[in-house]
Amino acid sequence: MSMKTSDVIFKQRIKDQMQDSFMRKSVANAQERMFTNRQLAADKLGNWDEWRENGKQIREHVLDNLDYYLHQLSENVQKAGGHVFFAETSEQATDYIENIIQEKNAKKVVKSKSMVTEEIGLNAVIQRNNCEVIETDLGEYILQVDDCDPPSHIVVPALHKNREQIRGVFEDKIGYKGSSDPEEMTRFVREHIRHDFIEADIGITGCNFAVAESGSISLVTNEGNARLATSLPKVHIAVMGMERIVPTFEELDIMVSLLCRSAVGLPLTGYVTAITGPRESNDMDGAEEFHLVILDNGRSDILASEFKDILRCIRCAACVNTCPAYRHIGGQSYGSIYSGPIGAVLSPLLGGYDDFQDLPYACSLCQACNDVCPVKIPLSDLLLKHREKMVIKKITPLAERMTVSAFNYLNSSPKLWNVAMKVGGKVAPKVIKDGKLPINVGAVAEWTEARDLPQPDGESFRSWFANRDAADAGKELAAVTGIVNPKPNLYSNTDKVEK
Amino acid sequence: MQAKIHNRDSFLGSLASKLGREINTQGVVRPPLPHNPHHDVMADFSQQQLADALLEFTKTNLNSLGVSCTKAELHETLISICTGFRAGKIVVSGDNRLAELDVANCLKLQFDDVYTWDVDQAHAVNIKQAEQAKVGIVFAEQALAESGTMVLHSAASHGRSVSLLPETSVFLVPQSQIVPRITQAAKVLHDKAQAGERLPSCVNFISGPSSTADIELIKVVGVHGPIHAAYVVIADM
Repeated sequence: MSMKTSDVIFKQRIKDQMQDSFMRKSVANAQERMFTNRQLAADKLGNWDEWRENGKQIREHVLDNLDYYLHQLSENVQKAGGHVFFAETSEQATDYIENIIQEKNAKKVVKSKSMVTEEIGLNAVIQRNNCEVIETDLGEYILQVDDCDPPSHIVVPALHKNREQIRGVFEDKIGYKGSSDPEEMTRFVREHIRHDFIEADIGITGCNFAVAESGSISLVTNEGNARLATSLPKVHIAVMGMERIVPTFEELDIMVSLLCRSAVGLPLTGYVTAITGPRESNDMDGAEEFHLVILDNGRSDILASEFKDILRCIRCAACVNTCPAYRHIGGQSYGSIYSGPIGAVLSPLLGGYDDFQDLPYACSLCQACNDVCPVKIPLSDLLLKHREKMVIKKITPLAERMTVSAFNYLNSSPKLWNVAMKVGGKVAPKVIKDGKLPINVGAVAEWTEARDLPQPDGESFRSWFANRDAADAGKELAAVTGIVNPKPNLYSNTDKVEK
Repeated sequence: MQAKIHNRDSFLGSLASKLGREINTQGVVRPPLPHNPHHDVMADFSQQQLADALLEFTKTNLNSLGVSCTKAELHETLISICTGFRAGKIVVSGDNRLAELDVANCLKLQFDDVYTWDVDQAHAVNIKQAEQAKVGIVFAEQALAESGTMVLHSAASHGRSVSLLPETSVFLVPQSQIVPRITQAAKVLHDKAQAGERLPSCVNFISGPSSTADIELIKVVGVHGPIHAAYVVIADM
């Protein structure tokens, strides 16, 4: 799997997904629970906005000095005995990892959950070397055994499946005979893949934050699979997006505190693990060889662009858990491994407008995501920026551009506008039948298709407004403003005062 | 094999040029944080209050066992905990502090199969012992009251597997080593790094047993890591 998870066009994906009533109910419930947990955790901690401001400033400082911190990080990884590979493209990253697999003649790789390895399509590369790869995070494991069903949430990837569906998948694919009880299924997986951790030649993980001062990588997890994947196989490869770095452990404290609360509503997750290099010479367990792969893959272009703020993201999914669009269409509708507001901003940047031009429109600009983001990313502003950029680049559909151009032309002259409205007012009653227009006009087609238009009375709004009964208008205004008998020159008076 | 850094100059060069400047590898100073709420958490708590907060969080949020006892009561406490978990085989970390508390020896009086992590044995032997054990016993460097967390630093004699492979993890921590939150634990690591020391290859902040909510967001305790956790605070240490 790479970034793109579907070849079906966006609108069809949404239509398909909206039929899935379990998914929709499950997403709504999940959003509510995760939103509430996050809010409770933030309230309990107190001064949440100060924490967020700290988080924002730490991330900004790192992004402004990324070359410095990446240099320092790589020096310290090397000092601790680890290898560092800087990959400008996803191919460079997968080539490097493929070389290790071939060099070690690896037959089995265990992975813990990592979005960035999905982004570079690592699993396919591993498998073409006749090497088995096992996704060991329970959610990822469910999706992998279900013929690589795409993830629907960046923290809870199998959120769209219910227990009965999961039981069915386990029965078909891995010989599970038990009930659909989540605990029973979880224990089955524990027993079923424990031997894989012990047999694996290589463990591959992501990296939540690398710590520049010590060359450590931190992993924020719950299941214990990342600990197994970094403790038992002889080789550990960590793959990180180049922006996922903090200067020191002091900043790690703040970022992990924000991440755990924002993602799962806990002060800390079950395991926060900091790995520094390979095992020390006399250690009994831990990898003998450690490789850190640092990936650009378009991030430096984002850093130099007006979308820079998105690189502050710590992948907590708080925005996903609050987004009304995500709630209705579900994660798989996005057709990207990154869904929700973060996915709608990030996917077009990393994967291009060709594949992801629809995503910035999966948003009502309600701005709820801005308010919950622990590092204060102005997500909805960035989505709007995408739309502006696509208009300027003429990526939006031709019909839409023509409609908008015609509107702009009419709107540029009051005379022309008045004529158009009067004509429109007279023509509309003749063409609107049963609330529908005979043609659906580009930019507003989806809107007019989904809604019934009112039956027009032949008059434009402006002429109705100009001719309306003055007494009625006075009453209406009073009802709205609470001002009885407004002075006709109220506004010009105000003007004078200001002058 | 000599550790290598690949492709750094061209990578950072390309990054810097996109930012419209030369590569900068020196002289960056961390700006102070605008706010310090993390230093205020439980700032005026006594050690006793921190211990109480830790144990309360352990019971209410982590569904785990948390007890406090004196050094004199430790053996009895451990035997009772291990009996409660119906321990067959027990693996004890090779940590000197556990040896000084005579942990393995006291358990041997009650249980048939007690193994101490042994740096003189082969890797595979130690892993196999930990794999087969029902209970693993470790000594924590620190505990974090706010999050019910035990901080473990790896070392040759304290293998990572002791708190990972057995079904149950038992953590011992001196009451004097309980701190408010991760802030104080991060400082220990920060100070080591600033002094140029190599950090332990694996530092773990462990809050309760392993868990997941990947199926219908229902919390299930016990996934790939331990299924149970017990914390023992040693009050007079």
